[in-house]
Amino acid sequence: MAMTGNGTSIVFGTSGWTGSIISISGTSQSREALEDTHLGITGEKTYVPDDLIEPGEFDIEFYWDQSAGTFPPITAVAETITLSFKLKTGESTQATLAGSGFATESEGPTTTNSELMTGTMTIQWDGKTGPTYTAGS
Amino acid sequence: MDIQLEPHPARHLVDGELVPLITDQLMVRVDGIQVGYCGAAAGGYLQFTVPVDQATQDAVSVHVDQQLGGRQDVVVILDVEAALEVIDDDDDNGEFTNDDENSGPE
Repeated sequence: MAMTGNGTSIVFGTSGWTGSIISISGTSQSREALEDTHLGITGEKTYVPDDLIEPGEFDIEFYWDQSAGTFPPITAVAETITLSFKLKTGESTQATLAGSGFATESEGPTTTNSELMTGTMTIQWDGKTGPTYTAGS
Repeated sequence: MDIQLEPHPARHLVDGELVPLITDQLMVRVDGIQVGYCGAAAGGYLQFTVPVDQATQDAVSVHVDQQLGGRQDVVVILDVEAALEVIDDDDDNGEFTNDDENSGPE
């Protein structure tokens, strides 16, 4: 059964950064289509998939906590990042999207009256560990 | 309260078998339910992925520190609901604001 994104969390294993997340975009992965058309082909061109996949990146938006001891790790080395999805009824282990990655962009809050401060961050999966989705159980 | 540390739940296929993907973090269970992660060695971070009360947080922290032989800092997520209450209070504090400039006595 489909669920909303409510309850999803993200943790950074080495920098220790985490936050009150407003949204996490999906990870977009891609690979090239290599044309292997030759003179013996008639009709449509033909293609084969590249061996290598772009591991992808994703964006997160979060409430900015000026009391937090750690901040978005734009200067950090690649580290383990785990997105954990809310437990479904009957599950005891959360579904995860996990791998290693690093921040490529970080934007601090715009400060104004009567609005909560928010920040954004772009995370690049580095492709060296994962990213791999593991179902909840 | 039963607190258990287990391998990180992420798995990937190696030679047809699902094996742990993440080795530098552990999963934390309380009474059988996953509540977060901690570093696999002392000096890491204990991070909760579901809301837990302070007593549970403290008990898990002590357990993790004992099991790993050193301190793991606990990362606390901003309490957004409390922040929203502060904003609501500010809105009702009776101070004169720009919005009030055109609302003088008739």
